[in-house]
Amino acid sequence: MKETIALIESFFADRNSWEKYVDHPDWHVRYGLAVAIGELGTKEDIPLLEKILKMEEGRSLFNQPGAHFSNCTDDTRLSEYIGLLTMHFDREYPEEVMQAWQCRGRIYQAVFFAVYKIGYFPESWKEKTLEFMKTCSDYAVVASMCIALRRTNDKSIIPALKEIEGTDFCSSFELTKTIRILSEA
Amino acid sequence: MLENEYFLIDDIEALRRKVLEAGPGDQRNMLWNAITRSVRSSVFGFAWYAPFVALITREPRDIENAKAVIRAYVDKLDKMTYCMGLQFHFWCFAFPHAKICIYFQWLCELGVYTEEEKEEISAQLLNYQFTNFYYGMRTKPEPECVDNQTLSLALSNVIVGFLFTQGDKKSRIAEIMLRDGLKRVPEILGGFPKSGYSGEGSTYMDVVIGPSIWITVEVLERIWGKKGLLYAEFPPSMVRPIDMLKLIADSWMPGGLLLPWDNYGYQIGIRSALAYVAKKTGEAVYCDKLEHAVWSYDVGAGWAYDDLVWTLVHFPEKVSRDAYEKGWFVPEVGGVVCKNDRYVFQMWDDSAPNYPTRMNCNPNSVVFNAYDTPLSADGAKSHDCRRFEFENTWKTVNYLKMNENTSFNFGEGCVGGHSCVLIDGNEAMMAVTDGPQTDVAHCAKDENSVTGDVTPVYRQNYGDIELVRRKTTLVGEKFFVVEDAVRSEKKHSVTARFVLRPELVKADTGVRIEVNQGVALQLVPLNEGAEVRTEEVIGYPRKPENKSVLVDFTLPAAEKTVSRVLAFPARTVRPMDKIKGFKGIYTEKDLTAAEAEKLLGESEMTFDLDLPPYMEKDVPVCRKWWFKGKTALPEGATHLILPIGFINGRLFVNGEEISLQPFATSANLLYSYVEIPEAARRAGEAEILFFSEVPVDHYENGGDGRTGLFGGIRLAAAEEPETVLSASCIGGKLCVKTDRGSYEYAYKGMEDEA
Repeated sequence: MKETIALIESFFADRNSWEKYVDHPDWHVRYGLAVAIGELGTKEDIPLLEKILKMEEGRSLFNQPGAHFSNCTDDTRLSEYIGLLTMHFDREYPEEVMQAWQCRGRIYQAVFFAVYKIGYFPESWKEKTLEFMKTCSDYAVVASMCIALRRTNDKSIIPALKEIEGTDFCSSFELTKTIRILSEA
Repeated sequence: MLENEYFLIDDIEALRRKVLEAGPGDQRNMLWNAITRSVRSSVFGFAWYAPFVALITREPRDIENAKAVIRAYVDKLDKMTYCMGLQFHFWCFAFPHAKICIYFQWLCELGVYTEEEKEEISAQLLNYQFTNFYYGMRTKPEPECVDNQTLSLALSNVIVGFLFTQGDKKSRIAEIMLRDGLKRVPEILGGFPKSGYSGEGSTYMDVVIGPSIWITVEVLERIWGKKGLLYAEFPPSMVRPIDMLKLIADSWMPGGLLLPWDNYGYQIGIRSALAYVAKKTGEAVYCDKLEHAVWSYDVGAGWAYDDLVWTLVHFPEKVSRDAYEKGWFVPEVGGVVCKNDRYVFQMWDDSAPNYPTRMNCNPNSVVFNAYDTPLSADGAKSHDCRRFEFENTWKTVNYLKMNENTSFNFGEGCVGGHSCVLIDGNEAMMAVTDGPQTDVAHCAKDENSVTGDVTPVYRQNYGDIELVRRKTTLVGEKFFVVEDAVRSEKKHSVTARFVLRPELVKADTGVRIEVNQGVALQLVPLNEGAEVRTEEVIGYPRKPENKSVLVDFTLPAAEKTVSRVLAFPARTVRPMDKIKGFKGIYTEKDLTAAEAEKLLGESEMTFDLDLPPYMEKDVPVCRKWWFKGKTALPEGATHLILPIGFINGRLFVNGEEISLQPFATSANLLYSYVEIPEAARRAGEAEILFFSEVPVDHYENGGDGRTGLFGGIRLAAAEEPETVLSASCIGGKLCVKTDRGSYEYAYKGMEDEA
């Protein structure tokens, strides 16, 4: 982990290395890179974000490998558990499934927050994003997409946004807020 | 990493002196012994104490324990990413993580790590924060989302961010987390209502908000380099942290339990927030509640099981015992009248529209407490209880189990599950819009009353309702009058419902309950023609007894109704002296009483049962304990009071076994009053043989923790309670005749308002 964190830290000091890591096999690195682009990037770096997103295509956000913990239940009570903890899975899962579950929505969120911070939502992303939001049930992802879409300043997407159903407080709230902001744009 | 100081500790040497030099009889000494004994006997059973003990003692064994704890925590992080809890409820993991980072900083400052170890652990702690809680914080709408979850996430980013941006090696990731967290924390504080009440009920205010508010103050003071933030106003609401902490203290009832102000029911409160504010203000209100807290180890505290540690860190140098006003009134929330061992809370805080779960619909509900004993019942029902399951209160959700829908009924959160007014007997009423639920409330100190107006929430359900107002008065510092004024365009029947603890006992007048802890409450309708109905409900609420008594006083349908009910508390058993010096043994296997007695005869260990044995003495952390003691029974002694928190208890008095089954549920929160057999009373002495299991770590009860023994064993004497023979309220005159005498008071009713 020391090397991974050092690599992520380096993204904030050396933007020249960004392109090299957009398809890094470790999702932590891609997540860190997306955050770094959000901090330091410009409109010209949007293609890098697009490449990072490309890696997420087709990955399930809700395909949990069946993990079982020996000493405690698989819920919030593990937050305070310190001690011997063994974990086993109900069967063997491919590495991409394991990573998809660990990563769950984090890269999407980081990319769309980066778009928001850069202040430019690419026209070519609009339709695909709205389509994705219709079926995505990960509220963190939907919420971040809502926030990024404010950068479109495009009232014409309001009907499409109204068709999207927020699955929780956060996504519902951000949807409503985005519709309000765009309608006032 | 922060250097040259121990984060959140102002003066380490002063703290070490305070802890190590406290002598017997000093509560700090009791706390320190309890903490060190537990963790030295079972490092991973009480892991959250280990870094603090190392910080204070600097002994190699304690440092090794602390390092092992940090190592075990770091080793679990990767596994946690497969845990549903982390993925869906990340805020629960955020603050404990920040606490571990603080403890790690302490250990780094102690110089117990090599540079390589420090770097490796730092990387893992930083990564976990960055990928889970920085991400998590950004899921919460900014600045609108103001709750305990967002506070946990934002504060964890501030703490971890701050720690890793100090010193020589500054992390850029940490800088970002600190910057974004630091922007949100003051916004979140200022987003709390001016009252300081988060709206989430007493459990969340105390157990979840409580442990974070004082840390927020301390962290911001350090980062901003400012003092006095406890009293600073945070925009936009201009709430002050002291207001939140005051409300947390207010949610403690006499006797040490939290008000049953939400669907968690009665709870044991956390102590560190009280200790902090007691130290900072020196005010008696906090010192008194701290002194009367339940001191068994940490149960149910939010954000890590280290409440005792921080309680000790903040324990006030001087404990004020000045008299203080025990009543309180917060216009948006509720009010308490408390005098002469009689206490009533009336609540009118908003409930959640259409889905009153944690934020129950309990407009103007009253909670009675007398002689430090709760008399009302409230909370959530047990899973097999079908009462309060209304057709319109089923909900199906997909977040309780992975890939599975779960249906449950939240009907007990509606008005019928609380001591409220029912219109036309409608138990299923709840708030149905986002509109206001209350009108102006007030308190009148001169008449010891509080008044709440909850007309709007009733009007949401009945368009013709013009007034629903309740005034609760402590009359003559002796008894309560609960008065409801209801006005409407159409005729409605009005029921004043009271949800009380068991048991229902015979009363010549009105309705009477007697709780096991030696207090009775007699309810007498003051209106002629009131229909009286009682119902025992098994399974609601789950705690303390898994049972309640519903008492309804219903007046016929009318456009204007003024209902009055007298509530008269009286003591039936009076606690006497504590019995000390029980011989004790621990055992791995189940013993018969005879086998236990034999071993106890050879034991040299003695206990007072004020705490789990491993906190009271240097003994191993073991589950099964037998205790034996002998006491003379003074004239009048009729009961033994058993400690809070016994598990699978067995009690023998002079060889005769007394079933403790009736206390199996309630003992988790309350003392158990057990009648001494007649033969022992005649003999004038009692040989007591007591068995109890004690929790062996913080994670019992499925990970939620469980109360350990607390409070010792004492004798008690039955006494004849004062009972009401008749009561009336006519023409502004309140007359109550009891078996001891007659009381007459002027009483100003709400007829004019109705």
